[in-house]
Amino acid sequence: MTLSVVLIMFLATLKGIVFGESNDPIPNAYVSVIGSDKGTFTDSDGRFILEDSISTNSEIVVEFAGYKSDTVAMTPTREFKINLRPISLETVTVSAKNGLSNMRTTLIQTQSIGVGEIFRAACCNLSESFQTNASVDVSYSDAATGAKQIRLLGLSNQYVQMTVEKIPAFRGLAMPYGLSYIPSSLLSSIQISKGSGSVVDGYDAMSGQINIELKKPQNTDRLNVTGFIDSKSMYQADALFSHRFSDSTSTLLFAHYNGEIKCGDGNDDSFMDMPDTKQVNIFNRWFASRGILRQQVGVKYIGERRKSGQMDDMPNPYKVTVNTNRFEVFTKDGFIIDPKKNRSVGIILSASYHDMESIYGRIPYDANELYTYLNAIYQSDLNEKLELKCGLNEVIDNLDEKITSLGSSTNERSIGAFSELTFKPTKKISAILGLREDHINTDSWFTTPRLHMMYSPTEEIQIRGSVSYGSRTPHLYAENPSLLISSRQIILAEELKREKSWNYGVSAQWTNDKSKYEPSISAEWYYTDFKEQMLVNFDVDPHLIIVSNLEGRRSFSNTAQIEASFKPFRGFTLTGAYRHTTVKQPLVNGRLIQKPLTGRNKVVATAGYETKLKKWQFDFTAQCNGKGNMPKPDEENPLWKKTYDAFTLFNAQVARHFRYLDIFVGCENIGNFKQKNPIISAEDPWSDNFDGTMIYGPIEGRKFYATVKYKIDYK
Amino acid sequence: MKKILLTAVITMFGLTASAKEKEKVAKKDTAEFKVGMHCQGCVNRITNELTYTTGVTDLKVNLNDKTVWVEYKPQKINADSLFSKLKSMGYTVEKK
Repeated sequence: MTLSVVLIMFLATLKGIVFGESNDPIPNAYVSVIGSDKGTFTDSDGRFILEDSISTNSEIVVEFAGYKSDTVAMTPTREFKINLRPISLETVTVSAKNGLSNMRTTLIQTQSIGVGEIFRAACCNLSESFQTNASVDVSYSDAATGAKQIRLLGLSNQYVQMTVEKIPAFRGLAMPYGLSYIPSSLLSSIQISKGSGSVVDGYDAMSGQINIELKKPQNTDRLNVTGFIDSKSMYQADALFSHRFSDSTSTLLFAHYNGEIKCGDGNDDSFMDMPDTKQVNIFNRWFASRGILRQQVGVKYIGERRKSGQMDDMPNPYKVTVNTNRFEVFTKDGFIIDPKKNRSVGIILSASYHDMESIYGRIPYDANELYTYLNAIYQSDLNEKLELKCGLNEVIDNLDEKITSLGSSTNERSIGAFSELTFKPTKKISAILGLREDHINTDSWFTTPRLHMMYSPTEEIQIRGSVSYGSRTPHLYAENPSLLISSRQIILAEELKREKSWNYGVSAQWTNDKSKYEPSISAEWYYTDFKEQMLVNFDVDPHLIIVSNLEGRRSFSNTAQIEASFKPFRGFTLTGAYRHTTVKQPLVNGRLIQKPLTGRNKVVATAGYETKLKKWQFDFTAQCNGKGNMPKPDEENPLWKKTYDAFTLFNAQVARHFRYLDIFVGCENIGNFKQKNPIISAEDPWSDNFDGTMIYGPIEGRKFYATVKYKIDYK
Repeated sequence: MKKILLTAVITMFGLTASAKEKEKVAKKDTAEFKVGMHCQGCVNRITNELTYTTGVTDLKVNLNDKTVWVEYKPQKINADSLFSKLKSMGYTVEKK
C-alpha cells in the first residue's frame, strides 16, 4: 500500500528506484529536483538517474498518479527509504504490470490487463484484447461491416464509458468502429471498472468504465516494429519510435497500416465473411516537464476504408462501404502547487473531428461530428484522512447526419461542476463520495451522485460496495449503423430522451500472494436499473425495428460472476470464471423478456505455461457461451429459429521470446465454429426478408496467425 | 537403393539420438549468490539479463532472501562469469 523510494547517492549523481505495493516497481513516476528544471521519469524497472543534480540543500520530489507526492531532503546518507501514501484510491493504475489482476488498492473494483495478458491471444487491436477476460464480451455488431461491440455487465458499448488516458473516446460516430482504432502495439494497459466510475471523468458511465493507457514516450522502447499476418489474409504492420531529447522532453511517433490480401466467402452465402478493410493510423505525442509544469500534447489521424457485402461476381450485388477520416488532438497540463499537500491543478483539453461517408445497400449515411472536451481538476489533501478533488467540465458535441435525403443536426453542450471526497477514517475502511451538477442545452440541470466504499479487514481481503447514477444522450444511427444492414423498416416512435440508470454493486476478493500456489478468488454482483432508456425492439414484427423510450417501464441488467485462479506448479497458471447475466427489457407487449442475442451464461477457462526462463510460453483459452434468444421470427414463415444453442470457442498460442524479438504463433477458434446463416435471405438482399443484424457468434471460422515483434530498448 | 536410404535414415536418427543423449547427460552446475537487491525492479533487471546469457538454463531470483540461484552449462559459462555479470550491473555480490 506504500510507494517507496530507495535512493543511493553517488557524488553529484542520484540513482534510485521507485516501487510500491508488493514491491512492484513503479515505471513512469516523475522524480524532480525542487527549484530546478532537473527531472526524470523512472524506467520500466522503476529506476531513475539524475545527473549532476544534487547539492547539499537539494530536495527531490517523487510523483506518481494516484500516490501522494513526497519531498525527500538530500542528506549525506548513502541509502535511505521513504514511504508515500496513495492519494486517491480510485485512480491508481499499475500500467506496466503484466498479466491480469484484480487491483487490490483501488476503491472502485478494477481489473487491470497488462501487456502480458493482452498478448496471450491473437491481438491486432483493442477489440481483441479481452479474449481471456470473463467480464467483457466482444462480438460482431452485424454480418457485414466487421464492426465489433463490447458488452460489460451484459450491456453494450453505449453504456460503457470508454476513455483513453481519462479522455472520453469512441463516442457517437466513433463508437461502432472505435475498437479497431487502437492497434495493440500502442497499448500499455487496460483498466476495467464495473459500476459507474468517478464523477471526475463525467456522468455517462452507466455499466462501467474501460480506460486505455497508451505507450508513453518517457518510458517506452526506443524502437518497436510489429508484423502480423493470418490465414484469412489479413496483414498488419506498425512501427513505434521514441526519442528522449533530455530528461524532461521526449516524443513518440507511431505509424500503422492494416489491410486484406483478399476477402473470401467461407460459408457460401455470397457475402464476404469479413470486409476488405484498409486503415492508416498515425500518432505523435510529446511529453515535457518545466519546473512545476508537466505537459503532454498529442495528435492522431485515422483513415479507414471498409468494403463489404456480396462478392463482385453476383448480379446487382448488395454492397456496404464505410469511409472514415478522423482527427484527434489533446493537451494535458499539470501544475504541482504544493507536493507536500498533494495540491495540484490539471487541465485536459481535447478535440476530435470524425467524418464518415457510407452506403449500406441503397441507403447512404453520411455524417460528421466535432467533439471538444475540457476538464479542469483541482486536488488537495484536506487532512490526513480526507482528500478533495473538484473542478469544472465542458463538452461540446456537434453531430450532423444525413440518411438518404433526410438530414438532422444535434448540437449538444454541457457544462458542469464536480466534487469528490475520499475519506479514510481507518486503514481498513475507505469511501469516495462524488457529486456533480451539469446542465445540457438539450435537456436541463441534472445531478449525478456516486458512492463507493471498501472494507479491507486484511491485506488479502477486499469487500466493496457502490451505488451510482449515470446518464447519456443516445444517438440512434451514429451508434447503431448496423441497423441499416437490414430490410426491416425502422420506426422511431417518439423523440428520444436521455438515458438514465442507477447501478448497485457488491464484490469481494481474496488473494494470497505469499502461498506458492498464489490462489485468488473473487465474487461480484451488479444490478443496473434503467429509469430511461432507448429501446431498440426487434420483437414486435420480423419486418420492423421499433425505437422508443422506456417511459416508466422496467428494464434492468443483473450480473453475478465468480472467478478463481491458482498456480499448481512452477510456470503453470489456471484460471476459471463463470458469469450469469440477465438483461430484461419490456419488448413484447410491455412484458419483460431476456434481451435477444444476449446469452445468460458464460464460462471462461485459461491455462498458461511458461518454461523456466520464460523463453517459451504456451496459452490455451476455452470460452463457453450459453444459449440465448433470437429476435422473434415470423410465425407463419419462420426464416430462423427462436433460440440459438450454446457454443464453445478454443484458442491456443505459442510464444517464443528472444532478447530483441518476440514471435507469436497461434490458432483462433480451433473448433471452427461458425454461426449458421448469419444473414437472413442472403441470396436475395433486396427482398423484405433480408437481415444481417442478428449475430450471436463468430462469422469466420478457424484462423491461424503469426506475429513478430522486434524491439530495441533504452539501456 | 531403398536399403541405402533406409540405412542412411537409421544412421541419421541414431546420430541425432546419440547427440541428444550426450546433451542430456551433460552435467549442469549451479551457483548461488547473495545480491544487494532492493525491490522487484532489481529482480526484473537481473532476470532479464541472466535469462538471455548463454549457458544459463534455470534461474531463481528471491527478493526476500536477496539470493540469485543459477543453473548453467559449465562448458558454456562458469560461476565467476556470472559473478562478474551481476557485479557489472552495479550490485553488491557475494558467493554463497
